[in-house]
Amino acid sequence: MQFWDDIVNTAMIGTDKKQPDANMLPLELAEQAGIIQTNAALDKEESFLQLAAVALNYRQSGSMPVIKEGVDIETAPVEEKNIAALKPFRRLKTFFPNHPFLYYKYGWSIVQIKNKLFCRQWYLHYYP
Amino acid sequence: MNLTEEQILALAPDDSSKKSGKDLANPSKWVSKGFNDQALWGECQGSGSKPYQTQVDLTNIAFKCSCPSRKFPCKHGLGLLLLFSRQKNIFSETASLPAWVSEWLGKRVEKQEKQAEKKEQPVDEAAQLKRQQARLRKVTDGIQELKLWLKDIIRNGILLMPEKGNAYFEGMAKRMVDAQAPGLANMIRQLGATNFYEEGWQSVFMERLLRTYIIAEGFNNVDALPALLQQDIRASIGFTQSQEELKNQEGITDAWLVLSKQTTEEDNITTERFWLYGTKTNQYALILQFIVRGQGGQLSLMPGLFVEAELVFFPSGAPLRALIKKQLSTSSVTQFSKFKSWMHVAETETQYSSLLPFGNERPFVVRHLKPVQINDRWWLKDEHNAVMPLKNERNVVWNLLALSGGEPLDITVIGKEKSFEAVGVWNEETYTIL
Repeated sequence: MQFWDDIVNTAMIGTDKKQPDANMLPLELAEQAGIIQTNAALDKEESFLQLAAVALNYRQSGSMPVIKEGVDIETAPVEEKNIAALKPFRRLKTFFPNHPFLYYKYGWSIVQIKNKLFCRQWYLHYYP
Repeated sequence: MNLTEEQILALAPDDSSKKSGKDLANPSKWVSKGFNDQALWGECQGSGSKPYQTQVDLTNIAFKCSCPSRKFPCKHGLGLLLLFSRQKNIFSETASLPAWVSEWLGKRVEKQEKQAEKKEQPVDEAAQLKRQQARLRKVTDGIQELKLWLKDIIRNGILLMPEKGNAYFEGMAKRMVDAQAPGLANMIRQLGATNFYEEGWQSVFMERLLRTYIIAEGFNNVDALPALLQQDIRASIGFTQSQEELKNQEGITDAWLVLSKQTTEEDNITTERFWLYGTKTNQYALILQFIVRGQGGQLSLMPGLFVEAELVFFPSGAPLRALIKKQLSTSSVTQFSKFKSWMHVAETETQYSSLLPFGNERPFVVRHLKPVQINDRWWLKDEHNAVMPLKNERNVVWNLLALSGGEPLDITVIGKEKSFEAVGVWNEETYTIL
């Protein structure tokens, strides 16, 4: 968004050194920019603030998601190992309340089956 | 009512209560325990001679305990509810309630009825008008000063803002407090709290500055604005709306799903933000609860819970903030509509922006999102290959990956434009808090 970058750049330098310029706004905002710039009651700071406020609203009203083709994630294989039930899972949670469950080493460590959380059998060696 | 452990623990006021609550979720700690449709109760042997009497209102989740703790809910309430969620079968189900439970429930009903009947005290209208006019003058004067301050910043440039220090912003914030414009004071403090070490701080700073300017200038021209937008301007400045007046209005009754609870603490005041979604009306709502340290909050809404309730929205061009007029019961709903894609979210945001150009973040429940990694950052991808960066990736991405296993999930996000945090997911028709 070049117009927003231009707004920020002008704000960085300050209107004392850089005059606000309506041309930095997109063509779609030409009418609003014209009204602001021809308003003799506004000093250059307020003129800039109004141009920038219009630009901000234009930006947030037209925000679009980014499209990225060909980006995906590998699907976890079907769980083959035996699974531990909810009770040991809770015990693990008690031991490691903030631990994200060994994700860094083993990948998909928690599976959810029929509304209940289970964890893989290899967790069990963590029990005392 | 089926509550998950995460939902119950989300009610805990702090980590130590969570831990103590878990310790008390043990049958051996409880001398007696029972439940029926209305309530859950138990007697816990503590350090005193008499066991503590702990009770939970299951219709409109609320706690009471005879222990001396000032935390709310206390560890006994949490422990009892945790034990109930884990081992309901060890609780005796009885139609009749113990006297101490029925007495408490009776008082709760009585209190609700009294509140409903409460008539407003007669007001001295002349004095009220005088106060309103005096405040209006103060706010108008304050806003004139604020505008000069903003223009000074713009004239000299924002380049040197990181060097200004807290006092520069705090001074103007205090001036706004004196001018009885606490909303603007908060906005100035947020401006000063911009992370100047972060790349791109200039853009964030300008957004915050411009929102403040829009509200200040909006107030100067408030009579020319649509009635609802006038209310938004006044609310942003800090004019309060009488909650009693609001409660006299007709609300929206729905099965509201509690999407998330966010808690912040500042100056001994805890602010709880409950994000709700009306499953029949497709309306999102934000309920705020302010708790002074040491006192209990009236509301206990657990994320993932469906609450049958009547909500009244504060007047706004794009209503979001609401209060609960009447909480009826809890329920369960499995079918409701969700946002189809990020584009659908963007279109809705455009509508909100046209109604409320200085609006804050909002929740959205979006269908079939998959966590994907692009350039070492995690994003959420929809079915149409649209991606959105995950704002809170550090806190949630691993849980999200574990639940997803690479499959798409329906996810609740809160945010705006291109900054969204994930707060909950549906998996196998169960809502899980992230």
